[in-house]
Amino acid sequence: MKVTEHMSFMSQEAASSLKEILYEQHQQSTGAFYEVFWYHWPSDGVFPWEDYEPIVFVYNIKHDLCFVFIRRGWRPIILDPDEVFQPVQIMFKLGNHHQFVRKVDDDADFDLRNLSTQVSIHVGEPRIRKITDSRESIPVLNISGPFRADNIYNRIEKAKRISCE
Amino acid sequence: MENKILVEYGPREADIFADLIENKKIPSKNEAFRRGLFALDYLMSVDLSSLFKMLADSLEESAKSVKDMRTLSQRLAVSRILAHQVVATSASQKGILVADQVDIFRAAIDEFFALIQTDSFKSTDKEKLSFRLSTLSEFANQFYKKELKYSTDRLPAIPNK
Repeated sequence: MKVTEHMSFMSQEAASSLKEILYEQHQQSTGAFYEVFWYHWPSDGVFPWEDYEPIVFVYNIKHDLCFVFIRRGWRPIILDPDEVFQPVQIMFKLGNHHQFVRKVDDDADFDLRNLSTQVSIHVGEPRIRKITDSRESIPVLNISGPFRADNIYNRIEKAKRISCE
Repeated sequence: MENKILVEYGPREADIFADLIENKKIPSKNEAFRRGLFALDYLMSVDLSSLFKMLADSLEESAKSVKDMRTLSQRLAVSRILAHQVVATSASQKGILVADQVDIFRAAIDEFFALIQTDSFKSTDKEKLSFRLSTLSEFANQFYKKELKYSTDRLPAIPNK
């Protein structure tokens, strides 16, 4: 499956400290699949842990985009495909790199006036490092959250089962 | 029940519905719709600018309490309530996508709670924490001013006598 190319915007500081973008793809026998881009920073703002921010694209059995999934402040957030601006643009805000997805009619929200002050990154094959087992690369904290009650893969799988299969 | 409607919704609402039903937070989708509508009616009349002001003040109070984890936790709990209220009220009055923008307060506060509830709090630079909360407070103040102007601009003009 092709990697979903997208644009990311972030501050100069965030761009210079971004270590890498890990990428994983999970395919189901139904044909539905999803891909996770893990943006990796050495720290999460002033908080003393490594930061892995997930951007997830979930595709249905026809390989149409079913939803975009992000996690902001440890809370899963789902965006309907018809709300999402194409090609996809992501902005990481503040020191904690909170993700915001540009929507189709969201000029003010995405802060387009200040885009020129942001560093833009085109994310595609050359920019990512593919991984097959996230447990080897992503700390448990970043997969399950600080309270270990909300494994990100379980949340994605559940939402996918309900809406995409 | 006499009235029936066909409701269209997407993956976001489907996920929320599933969570509400599976965790027995609500007895049925129908009840979720009824409660949502009832809550919406009240939230439509909430003064959003005042909420932002309370959130800004609350975050500033939290910023002054970073050296005492117990007090910080208590004050942040108030900020968190207000941050949730801001998102719910914005969603009700302006739509879900606009509410997504102000979710940044809820997200930032939840990060602080994550810090407090782990062992990492003791080793974190308190001055930086305080600065971060003050910045968030200033950010909420900007929303307050924007909302105040928005609500003032919408006031009907007083006719000249």
